[in-house]
Amino acid sequence: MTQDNEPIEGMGQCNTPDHTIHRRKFLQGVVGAGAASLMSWNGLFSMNAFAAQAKKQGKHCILLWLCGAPSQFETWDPKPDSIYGGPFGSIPTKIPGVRFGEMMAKTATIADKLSIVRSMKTKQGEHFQAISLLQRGAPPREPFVRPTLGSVLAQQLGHLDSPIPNFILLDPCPEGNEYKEFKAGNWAGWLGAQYGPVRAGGEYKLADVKRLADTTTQDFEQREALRKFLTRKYENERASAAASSQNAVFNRVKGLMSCADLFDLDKIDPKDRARYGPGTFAQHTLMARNLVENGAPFVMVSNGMPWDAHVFQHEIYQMLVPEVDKVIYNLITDLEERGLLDKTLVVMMGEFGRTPWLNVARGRDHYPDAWSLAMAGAGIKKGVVVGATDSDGIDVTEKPFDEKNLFATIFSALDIDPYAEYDEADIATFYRVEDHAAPIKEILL
Amino acid sequence: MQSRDRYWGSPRIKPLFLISSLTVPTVLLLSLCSQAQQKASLATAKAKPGKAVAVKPVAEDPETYWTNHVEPLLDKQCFKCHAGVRQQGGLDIRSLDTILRGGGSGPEIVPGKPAESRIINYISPKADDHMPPDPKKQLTPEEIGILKTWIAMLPVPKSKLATGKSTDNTWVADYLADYRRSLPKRDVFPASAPASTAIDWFLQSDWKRSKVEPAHLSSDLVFARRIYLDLAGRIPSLDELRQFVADKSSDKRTRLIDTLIASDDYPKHMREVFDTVLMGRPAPNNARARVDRGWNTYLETSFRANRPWNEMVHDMLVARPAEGPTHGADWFLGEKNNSYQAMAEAVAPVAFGVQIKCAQCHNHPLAWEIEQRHYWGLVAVFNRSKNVDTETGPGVAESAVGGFISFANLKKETQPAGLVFLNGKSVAEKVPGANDKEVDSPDLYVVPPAATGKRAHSPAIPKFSRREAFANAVTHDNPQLARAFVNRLWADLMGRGIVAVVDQIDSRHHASHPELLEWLGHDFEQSGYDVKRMVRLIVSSRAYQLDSKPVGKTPPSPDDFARSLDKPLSAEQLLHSLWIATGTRVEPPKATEMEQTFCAKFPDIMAENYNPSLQQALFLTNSPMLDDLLKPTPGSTVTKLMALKTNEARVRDAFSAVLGRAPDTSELQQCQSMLAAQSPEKGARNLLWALLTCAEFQVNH
Repeated sequence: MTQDNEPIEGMGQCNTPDHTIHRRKFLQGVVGAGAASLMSWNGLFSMNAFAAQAKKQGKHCILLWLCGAPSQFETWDPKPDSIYGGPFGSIPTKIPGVRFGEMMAKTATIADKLSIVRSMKTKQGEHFQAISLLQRGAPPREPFVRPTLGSVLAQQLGHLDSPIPNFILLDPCPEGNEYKEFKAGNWAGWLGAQYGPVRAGGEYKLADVKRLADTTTQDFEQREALRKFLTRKYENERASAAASSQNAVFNRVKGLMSCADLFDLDKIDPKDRARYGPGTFAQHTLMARNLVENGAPFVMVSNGMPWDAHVFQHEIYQMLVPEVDKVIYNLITDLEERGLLDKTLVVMMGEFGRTPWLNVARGRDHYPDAWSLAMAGAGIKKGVVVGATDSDGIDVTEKPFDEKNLFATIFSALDIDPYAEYDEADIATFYRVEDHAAPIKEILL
Repeated sequence: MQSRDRYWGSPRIKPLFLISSLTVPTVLLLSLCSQAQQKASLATAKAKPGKAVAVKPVAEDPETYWTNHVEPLLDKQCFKCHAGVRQQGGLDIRSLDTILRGGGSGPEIVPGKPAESRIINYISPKADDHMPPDPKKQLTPEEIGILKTWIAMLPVPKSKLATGKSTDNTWVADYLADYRRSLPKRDVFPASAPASTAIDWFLQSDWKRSKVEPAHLSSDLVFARRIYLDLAGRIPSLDELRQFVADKSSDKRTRLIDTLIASDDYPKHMREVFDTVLMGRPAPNNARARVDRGWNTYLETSFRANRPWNEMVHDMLVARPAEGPTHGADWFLGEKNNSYQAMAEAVAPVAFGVQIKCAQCHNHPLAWEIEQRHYWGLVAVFNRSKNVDTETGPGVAESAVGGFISFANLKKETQPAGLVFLNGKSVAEKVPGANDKEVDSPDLYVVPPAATGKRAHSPAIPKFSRREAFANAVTHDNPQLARAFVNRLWADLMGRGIVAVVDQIDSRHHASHPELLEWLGHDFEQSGYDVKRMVRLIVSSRAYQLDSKPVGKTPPSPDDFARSLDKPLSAEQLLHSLWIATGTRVEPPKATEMEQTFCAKFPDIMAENYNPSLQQALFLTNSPMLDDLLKPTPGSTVTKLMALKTNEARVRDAFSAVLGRAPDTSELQQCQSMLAAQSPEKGARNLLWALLTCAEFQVNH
């Protein structure tokens, strides 16, 4: 419940006098219904100095969320000599002595830009619980709801009054059983609804982002100022959390409208679109790159749960792996080309791995005991493989890591204190990473 | 079929399998360890090792002490291996009940005697076989003290307990009955007092105890808007509002309640709520069927005629689409399209007030009374069903044979699914032997299925019907049915359930006012599951009619019910209220299209968390649907505002039309200042937009 003349939280990184002055002027313009704004919203952010400043300091994170859980055998940790290895072979990569699954040909050529963890060992083998575990970084502790990675990073890396949403979930496939259920749940937890994701899903464009033809800028701003005034009054008179949430959400409408084009695939160069590939996952990864280029702090790309191949594993993976291979290759090389890779952490993972053995339906089942993930970009070493599994991929033989180690790594890579205590009211004692779990030092710069 | 009250923890059949204490696959395990604890209970500063902590007398009763101190401790230290997913040594440690049963070596504690209790020996630092097994995670002396204190508080059993490796648990039920009798009787509503005073009696006792100051009574304006929204699903029109305010009779609130319940809006609103509560929002291709298959009509007819709730549930479970009052009830099962698990998962919240999804692959990790066999028993109830098309129309047939399934736990141990239910009841049926082949024949049926290749006259009904047996088991002599409904209705009307997570009335979710919930459930059952009566009981209470503004410095906690809580409008309430406030008449098919859009944009009803989304804000900002309601069509509110002479008049009338009240000085000033800078049409439209999208309109308060 903030007063208008109080500083907005999360503004830590932008303390230049320039910015403070502009912000105050902007706020004056919004609060006084009927008073002319001293400068337009769009103008504020098109001011070169400010925009450049914001971009320079910002860090970003792209999470390629391979929901359903990808098999480590066909991707990062192939075992072609094992009876469990499957029909696909392995190929050498740019990292000497390291091999990927044969369908990862393009990614193999840029392996020296990535770090691979082959020794993930977690304890949750059921989708909904595991999605929650790998999204929140710790097991649940009812009745408290730990915020997801995106919400934490939105708070840490983003600015509350930024036009571009701080947490974007590109998820065009509304289906996916347990994932669908997870999506309907509480993403932002104790951080509050304003750190929940903006979802673009189902269509390739965001709905309701274009101002109606006969609604002028003045209409828009003045009626919104009045709505905000009335809602804040209601909030104060009744100590209403509902009203507070509403204002938090409406505060972001204008910003989102101003960057609506960033969510419109038709505005992206068709050559780029062809290069990434025709699938929705590919197209949305491209959109994620574009969003990050324009300042988005955290973008999560997912697409239902196609990786959960309990049936016909090999047949399905023939489609999935080459696609993700192309996507990863293009994303990493594009980010590097644009000078964004050092400021953008890319995380590529699912909620667990898949079993070495096939079931009766020729599928691999869930396997949290030994699985792999990959990271690249901000704070991450290049060309490192950490951890190992045995020759059949049944167990971790070196350096097991769990979700806490993973989250400690992600926060460290982004210069966020992993062990800070949450100081929200009304919750028990919680830290960003519990148990002081160590980050995976081998892959951190 | 003996009835047991699951809510308090009742005797149950011992598990059919004991998990070996040797190798346990770690694959599917819900880890419950955490750092955080309620600050009241565990000391963060550890005492020096070896220092004994005396058993202190405490003010709380053992049940409260368990909830506040013991359960959180065990959750942190022991549940990982001794709870729903995993029971090392066969021991489930989640309740007094399961602790007394122990893990095949007799009871883990001797009530009243901590020194003789096995569990205390295990957790002592010097024990050989000490628990927890990790030497770095031992209980502190304070924590051991808590357990000793709790054991000492329990009444000593009357008979001597069997010692050693006894598996005789028959004494546990009697002991628990004695234990419950020994708990302090708090809040027993006097039987002679009128039922209409009960709700206030319970809440006021609680306020006095917690020293909470309730809000004032709501004004007529506030009450009228609230009761119209809650009973008729819409705001009152300006005329209705003025009429109510002008009425000088002392019983006008009671009469308004009666009028609204008798109106046609009431069954429609109840249908809107309960359709979503029972079936969720429909997928786009299912929406039409809920109308066409008579489901919506069934709900409206039943609520209009005040059909007893247990009969409605019976209709839905038995799913036999006769003509007359039960027509359309079969769509509750029918829409699930032969997915028996979906049926089981939809039925559990209605029949027992719990979510059963977590018990598919293992016993419920947290709520000890919800077991895997309950999940699969419920699936078995429905797995003889099949959607069919017959000469008399589509329906859900039921076979007389088949549906004998087994289920496997995480260790791949299988057992057959018997018809055992969460309320302790079971249905006996003849199970064919391993080599017997069941033969289906027409004489097993009341209405036989059609011969192959032919179309049946109507859906098959077997002589022994699992669905009917189950329906009887849960709609009679089943306190959970009443409690589940009452908690839902309370959440709908009061803004929050007595058990806050409305469909999880289980041992891990505590009621804010357990005696009130029990009284309401009992009253509902005794009244013959009379829905209108319960609705009336709640909305006639003073607690329901309190204002939303807190009295005093800090607002009361929501679960005190000491002031009216915010209830964000549902899609239907919002849309109908928008039509009234903007003075627009929208006819089908446009009206249907608007309803579908709003339901898709604002799908939540009784959501656990209110999370307005950016997409909803965008919709309200830029959607032509809302904008159309603000166009100056004949007779609309905008047109009326434009015709007024002064800006002040416009502001006053706009506030009346939308919020049903007069603006205060600062509001008048802000609004007039905006109007001064705009044309009459733009000003009116923008003013209305702001009023319609502000919290006061968007929320029922």
